[in-house]
Amino acid sequence: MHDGGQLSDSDSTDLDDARLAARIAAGEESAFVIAYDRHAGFVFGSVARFLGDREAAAEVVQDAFVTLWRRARQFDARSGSLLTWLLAIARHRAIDRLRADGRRPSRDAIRLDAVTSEGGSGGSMANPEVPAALIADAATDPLRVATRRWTQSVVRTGIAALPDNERQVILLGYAEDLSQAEIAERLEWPLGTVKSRTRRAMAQLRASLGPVAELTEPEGSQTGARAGSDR
Amino acid sequence: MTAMDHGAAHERIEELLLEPAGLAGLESSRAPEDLALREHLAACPTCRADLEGWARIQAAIADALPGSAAEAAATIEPMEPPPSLRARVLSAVRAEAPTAAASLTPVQMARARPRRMAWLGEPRTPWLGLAAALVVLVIGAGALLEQAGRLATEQAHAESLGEAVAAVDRILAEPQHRIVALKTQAGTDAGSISWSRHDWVVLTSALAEPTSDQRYTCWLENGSKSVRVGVMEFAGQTAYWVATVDNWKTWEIDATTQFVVSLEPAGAQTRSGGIVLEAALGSS
Repeated sequence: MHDGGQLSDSDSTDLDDARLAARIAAGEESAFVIAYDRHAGFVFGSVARFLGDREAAAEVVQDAFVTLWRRARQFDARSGSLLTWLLAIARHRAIDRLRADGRRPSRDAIRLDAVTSEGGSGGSMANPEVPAALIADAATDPLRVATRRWTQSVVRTGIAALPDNERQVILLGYAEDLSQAEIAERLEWPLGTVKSRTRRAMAQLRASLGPVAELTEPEGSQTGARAGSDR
Repeated sequence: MTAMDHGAAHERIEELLLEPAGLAGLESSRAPEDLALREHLAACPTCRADLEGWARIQAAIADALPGSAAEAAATIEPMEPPPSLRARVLSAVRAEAPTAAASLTPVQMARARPRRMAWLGEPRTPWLGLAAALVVLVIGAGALLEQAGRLATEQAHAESLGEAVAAVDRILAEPQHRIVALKTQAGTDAGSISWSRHDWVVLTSALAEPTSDQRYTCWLENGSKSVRVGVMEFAGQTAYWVATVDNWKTWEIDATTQFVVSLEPAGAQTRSGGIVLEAALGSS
């Protein structure tokens, strides 16, 4: 940092979100730089995937971080992490950007999403027809489409941020629908290693994506949750 | 069947989470541990909320990944922010500094100001720092903030250009780099464009910083095909644009490709303004 380096290296790694935001609110540029270095990559990856435009994404990320500088004192760590706060700001800015540009997630994007959804739940890629209901949603509720697309973008960024060996087990489990035993066989890893890496990956994803995933309807895998909540 | 406690319930939930369909199969499972878990969930809102959170995460992951590892891997390729973004954000924040400072309370000013104005020297003692900050507030806040803003802007400009210079260094270090002249519509030299396999740098001193609602926007054009690739940044008298070529894997530069700069409203996605600067990328 350029203005005196008030924060030591240990500070920069140890600072939790609440203290970091408090220092930013007090005008400490060095704290702001730590927040940028810590979170800009994730926010940028999410916005760039959502907009499909890296330059526009850079402008949105800039807006989000300037907002952090202006409003850091409004951050409340009890409501979520600084990353999810930044992502919420970026999401609004990105959707505003789509509106201002007269764009919305395109028909092609919707089609891709439909294929993705089928594939993700174990369906066949051989039938990429878009469900009529999804097209109707797109026509009547672009915000719903945009919200789903945003969640996908953030989740993909979260998976991309996992360590290689944890990312592999998630890809094979969710994209190829392999069991833990099949993943172990495919990767020639002990079954226990596959399980521990899957657990770590899921914990990391929940930590970084939890509030974002709340935007998602828990389709398919919801039965257990509903079984409990209905009782 | 024995009653399941929280610890055993969480253990079972963790086990079910290992398979994407694990939670989905809970409702119909006849396994004794799943019957016990369902019974526990029915009476335990905490565990139920935890399970619902996990179900949402699983659903979100399933929805985000296409149905083959190769396709899924393509959707999660790393996307790094452009190297110039950090300097841009810092420059924008520094431009905000007087406003942010004005919103601080006197006590916050006393705490924050000596830190931000490090070039004034760190206070030797806390009371001296407090006194200095109060003096700034009382007699000289406007002038000092203006001076601080100017210094910060110059510092930001130097850092921004430093990134451009570093990118040029990387380009020149690559054997297969290219350099072409950037010209005005009148055909006079106005700067340069240089690029390698990974970096792209445009430098010119022929542009004046536009108004806040306008941008000098960069385009790659081939015949009727035009794509917006970025906007020029300004550091004092120099305008520059630094980018990563890796982002344009789908664009092939050939003998007819033009690099064009035009003045556009901020955020414009199609070119409507006249060409201000241009370069024939196949001419080097």
